[in-house]
Amino acid sequence: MSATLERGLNALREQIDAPVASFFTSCVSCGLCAEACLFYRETEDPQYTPIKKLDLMRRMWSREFTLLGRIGGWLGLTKPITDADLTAWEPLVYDSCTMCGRCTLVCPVGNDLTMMIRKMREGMSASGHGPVELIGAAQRHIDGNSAMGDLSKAIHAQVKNAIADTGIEIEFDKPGVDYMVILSAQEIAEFPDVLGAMARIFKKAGVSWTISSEAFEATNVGIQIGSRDIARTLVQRLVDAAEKLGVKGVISPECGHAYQALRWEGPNLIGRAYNFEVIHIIELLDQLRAQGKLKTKGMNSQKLTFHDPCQINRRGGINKEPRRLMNMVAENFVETEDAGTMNWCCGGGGGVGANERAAPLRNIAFKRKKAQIDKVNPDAIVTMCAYCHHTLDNVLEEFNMDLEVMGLTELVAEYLDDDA
Amino acid sequence: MNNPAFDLLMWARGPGFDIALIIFIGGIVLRLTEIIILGRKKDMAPAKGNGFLQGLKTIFSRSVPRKGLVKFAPVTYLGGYIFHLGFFIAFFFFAPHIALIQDAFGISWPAAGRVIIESVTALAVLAVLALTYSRLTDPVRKSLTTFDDYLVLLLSVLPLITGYVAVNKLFGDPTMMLAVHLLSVEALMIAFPFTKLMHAVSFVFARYYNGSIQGRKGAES
Repeated sequence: MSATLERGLNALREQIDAPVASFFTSCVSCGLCAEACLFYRETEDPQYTPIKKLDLMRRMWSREFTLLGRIGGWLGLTKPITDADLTAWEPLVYDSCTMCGRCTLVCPVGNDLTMMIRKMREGMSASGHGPVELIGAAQRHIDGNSAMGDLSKAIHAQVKNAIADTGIEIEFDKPGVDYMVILSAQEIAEFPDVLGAMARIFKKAGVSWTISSEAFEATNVGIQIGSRDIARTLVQRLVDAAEKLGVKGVISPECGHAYQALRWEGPNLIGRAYNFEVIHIIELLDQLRAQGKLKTKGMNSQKLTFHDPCQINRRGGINKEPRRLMNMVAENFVETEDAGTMNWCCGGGGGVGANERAAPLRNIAFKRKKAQIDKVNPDAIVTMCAYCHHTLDNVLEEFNMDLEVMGLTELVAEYLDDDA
Repeated sequence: MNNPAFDLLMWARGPGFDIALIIFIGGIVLRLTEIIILGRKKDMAPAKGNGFLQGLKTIFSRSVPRKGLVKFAPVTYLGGYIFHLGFFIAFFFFAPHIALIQDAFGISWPAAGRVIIESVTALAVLAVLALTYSRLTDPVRKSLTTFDDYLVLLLSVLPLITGYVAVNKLFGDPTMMLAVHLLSVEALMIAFPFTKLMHAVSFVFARYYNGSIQGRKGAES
């Protein structure tokens, strides 16, 4: 057995806990998880049945963690996992799963399949399996300051632009303020208007904030490729920066997996609770709204619909907050079928968007999202994840759908009541 | 006095049942220990919702399919419901079964009428046939199905069929048929901990974990 294979199997072994054992014990192979999966639904290829993507992990559990499986192993009735198995499973674990979490919500016995995919990726990446783009992004982020390369010049330039646009001062590395703002690489590179939007909203609301020049990037490819070591390093940078500045909280930006990484996995990765709170930007805006510190004037009259990012709503618990904000600024807000908890994924999450090999399959899977959007036929789509925004922009163009996509924070800022 | 059918019935009622019960209970304890012993790490992220309560709630709420999904797998959903309900009604509400439970534990409850018992038994058998058919033909089900799945379907349907035959004296020696019925139940009990039948116990854990993981985050489950 090669060293890397052994390392991968050890990493996978470490992931098997009581919930995983209860899930595999309970699976009756009913196949209902397939019906929840965008990749199965659009291809009707049974290999994309979520529980099948976990077959190697199931085999390891059965062989090593059950008495009967162990006896089977001794008698040579079952085979250990080989490097060829891992290679064969790589497209199933990385290309055809965005970790959207719909299967987790339909499984009749209650299996959290998405959590198991997250765990299985630990074994895959430790054994040297994973999309090259994610490996490259991880390397860039570990060596520098962003998964996209060096974004420190870009962030300074974008802040400068935001100051020029809004006339509001934005200071780097200011200690003792309320919040440290972090951004996703996608926002810095593609949707920098969010900076000005936050500056205006926070000024009105009396919220003080800063950006750390040492840790401003929220994305965490460790979560996507399935490497606790990488994920921990990236979370630790943000924690160190926030604790050094002594802020009350860190604002998790409009980015799905970044919220998952910092808010839910982070404390478990670094092994302790933080000395600050983590709040998603939309949670904070909704809080400010409830406190009367966020007032808007006028409304958007277009037919707007809302796209729920999987990691923020279904797997993050932020469901009502964006809807309350939408209702403040959207006169003609229509929900899609399956909106909210059971919303369909944009197809770009879980690292699939960065994975070139997955692109043809991703475009097929997007037809599910497209059908959902087509049914309400909106003028524009609002979302709260820059990567969903980016994916929707790109795929809509590919399908010749002339639809605007916007970020919720910017939309709210557009209608901010400057006189209130 | 040599009546093999009677001897077999006596064995199935006595030592046979005891052996099956020991394997059934011992096996379940072993399988649950295999799960629980693995433990899970304490979640250090501050909770947004109550994971414990949502875990408990999910044990029950997951019995209801999510909106709009039934039409995509009607055989699995309807077959699943009819089989489970039919099996439980036949098992818990057939007068002779209640009498057995009263003998053993001293508790009893009203029995269902014979028409109800026989109807639900027949429906449950049909449901197993439909579920088997879908495992043989539906691409997703087919690709997931292993020997274990067919064994489990067979073991679940045999007590229903043999019970129906014995009660209605459809064929064979009634004593022999009753013995066969008991033996089929014992086969089910022995296989239970070591096959997918175990889901009937472990689903409580799986649903609880699912609900508690989601619930801590304030997310639905």
